[in-house]
Amino acid sequence: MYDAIVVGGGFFGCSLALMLARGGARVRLLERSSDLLTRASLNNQARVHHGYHYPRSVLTGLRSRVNYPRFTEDFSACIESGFRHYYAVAARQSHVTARQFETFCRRIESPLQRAPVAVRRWFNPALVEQVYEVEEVAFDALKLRAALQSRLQTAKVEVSLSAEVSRVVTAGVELATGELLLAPRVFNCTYSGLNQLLSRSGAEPIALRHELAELCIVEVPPELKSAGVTVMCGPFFSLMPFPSLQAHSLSHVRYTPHCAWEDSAAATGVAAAPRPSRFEHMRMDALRYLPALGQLRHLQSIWETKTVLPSSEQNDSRPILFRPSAVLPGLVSVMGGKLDNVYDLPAELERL
Amino acid sequence: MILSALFVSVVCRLRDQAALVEPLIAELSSVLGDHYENYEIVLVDDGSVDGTAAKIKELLSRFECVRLLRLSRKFGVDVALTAGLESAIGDYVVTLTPGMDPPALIPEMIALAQRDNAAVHGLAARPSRPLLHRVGARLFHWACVRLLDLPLQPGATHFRVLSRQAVNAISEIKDNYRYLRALTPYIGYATRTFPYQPLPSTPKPESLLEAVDTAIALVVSNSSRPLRFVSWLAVLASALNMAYIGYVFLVNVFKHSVAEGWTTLSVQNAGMFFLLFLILAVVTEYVGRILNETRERPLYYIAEEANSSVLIPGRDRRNVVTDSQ
Ligand SMILES: Cc1cc2nc3c(=O)[nH]c(=O)nc-3n(C[C@H](O)[C@H](O)[C@H](O)COP(=O)(O)OP(=O)(O)OC[C@H]3O[C@@H](n4cnc5c(N)ncnc54)[C@H](O)[C@@H]3O)c2cc1C
Repeated sequence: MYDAIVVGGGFFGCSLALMLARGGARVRLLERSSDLLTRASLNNQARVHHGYHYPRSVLTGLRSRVNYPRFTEDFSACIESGFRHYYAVAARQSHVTARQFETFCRRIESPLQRAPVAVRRWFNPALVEQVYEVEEVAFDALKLRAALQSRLQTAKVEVSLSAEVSRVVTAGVELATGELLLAPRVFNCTYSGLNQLLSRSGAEPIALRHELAELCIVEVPPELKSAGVTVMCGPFFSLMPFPSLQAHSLSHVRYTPHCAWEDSAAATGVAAAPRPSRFEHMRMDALRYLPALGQLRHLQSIWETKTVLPSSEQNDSRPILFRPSAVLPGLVSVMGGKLDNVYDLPAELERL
Repeated sequence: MILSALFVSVVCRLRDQAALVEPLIAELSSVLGDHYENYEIVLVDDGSVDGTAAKIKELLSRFECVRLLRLSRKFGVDVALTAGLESAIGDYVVTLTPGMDPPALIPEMIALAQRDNAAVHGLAARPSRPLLHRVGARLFHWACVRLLDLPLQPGATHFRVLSRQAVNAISEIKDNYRYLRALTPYIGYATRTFPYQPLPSTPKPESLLEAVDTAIALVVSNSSRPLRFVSWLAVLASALNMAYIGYVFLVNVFKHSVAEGWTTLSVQNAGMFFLLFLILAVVTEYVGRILNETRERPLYYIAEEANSSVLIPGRDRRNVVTDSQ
């Protein structure tokens, strides 16, 4: 008998288990894979959001700005800060202009300065209105995994790997092996699998939108080795250091999502069919803005399901989802659109 | 057939052509898919009001590699194509007029562009036009080439192939008035012409009045020669005036009864006013143009972008599994 069971050993499941255990609860964490943080928490852009990325949602920007120092302090050993991060505002088709972006950063009080001339020369002035240097670091997901593992151990959370939950029952869960574990509270932290678990448990689904995302892992030319570049704000690209593989990740708002679907009763889950890579598309477009990219080498592609709340599509906000089930008492579904959202969790837990 | 590794973008401008959308996409997809590993079809909706954009969006789930750029209102062919050019990512970008330019010719044109490392311009066999229109067009082209230093090609259409280099050069031109027909020669680079027979469904050519309007705008935004002519005209006018002053002076000296002179006076007056207004007209055109350029307004506004390959379960079930591992 546990006080709480957490399903899903991603960043959110681990963090939630920690919070509960530190509050004195006896917690069991169940993860389907053979290790923690193997899915979205590993396969992402590794950006510790500092607000810059959300010029169209002041609230999300502001929350990121507030949570940023907490995250970087909390996980200081997992931070990769040996690079400079540049945000470029596109001249055409951008949802914000350079002036609006400056105003936005001033409003949320995120530090911003114009990039030095040498850096601006990397860019094509016909397509890029302005380039800024910002303070925004990346995280190393493998180090994050190690840090969480040791914290979970210290907090005496019982972690089970290769433990798939097949459904949630009243005051407990049933594992794929048929084993039954009991706890008055069950947290569903399975991200792209949220609705699968809910539907198998007979609970009401949540409106979620999924995208099959392709992240290209690349080797950049030497002069860009210690740089990250994000082009704002529309169908543009992002080139971020990817610390866990000692390379960069290239993603593109237009080309990274290969397909999108909404959970319905008929189908949930991932489009698993292997697809041809869109690296060439991303490279061709990125080169137009950043001719300095020159010879970009494609090392591999990482495929992951990205899950977003349909409500946040319009304004680009990334709120946290925290939803107690109306059908199964004690079951709560938790999903964060980005890692630093985790600091918005304790307040919600208290309200339970 | 081995697919070429080239990345080809095709840009089309659509204006109230909902009926044309589906056959266009279907034909482009089959031609491009048969020849190139990577391609994209960029459809620019120039503020259509007949549901063209909605029709395209509907087709996005059936056809791959299609992108829709919807402009916020009508901006005209050249600006719409520019919006497409500035968003296209291919090694080669093809622009074409739907319903007029046969997509089947694209591979041939691209092969030519590649072989000669040049931009390729389609030259259409012109449909018959009224005599006045034909003569006017001839005269205009003669004037452009001989007097205005604008190397326009008679019969040149929007069917062209531009290399990435040429597209980049065009996106750097910031003029708000743009006529791709004049810009493409302007940026230099080698060019080749490609004569072809337009499709029978070719839209009607513009009327004489529209053609004259386009011609004036085209000349004013691409040549400063008329201003130079006006300067010479002004010099001539002042010289004539000087001569007239001399004449008046001489008359005064040698004639004692100066009662005549009404004729010369009015002729001189009328002549000078004629020149003055001519000069004013040309200068006004240019001042207007300068005004618009210095305002630095964006060339166009894109209201939305939409892409194909949105997967909807149920309609395309084979890509969905119920397990995420
Ligand atoms: C392409 C991409 C880029 C991103 N970029 C960023 C970024 O730059 N910065 C940022 O902050 N955020 C980013 N995000 C978002 C971020 O990755 C997620 O918000 C975060 O990882 C979610 O963590 P999680 O623990 O909820 O999900 P996950 O890490 O996916 O964890 C869910 C876990 O549940 C397990 N599971 C599923 N079903 C079961 C079951 N039935 N039984 C047991 N276990 C189960 C899975 O194995 C998995 O380990 C990105 C996401 C994607 C996809």
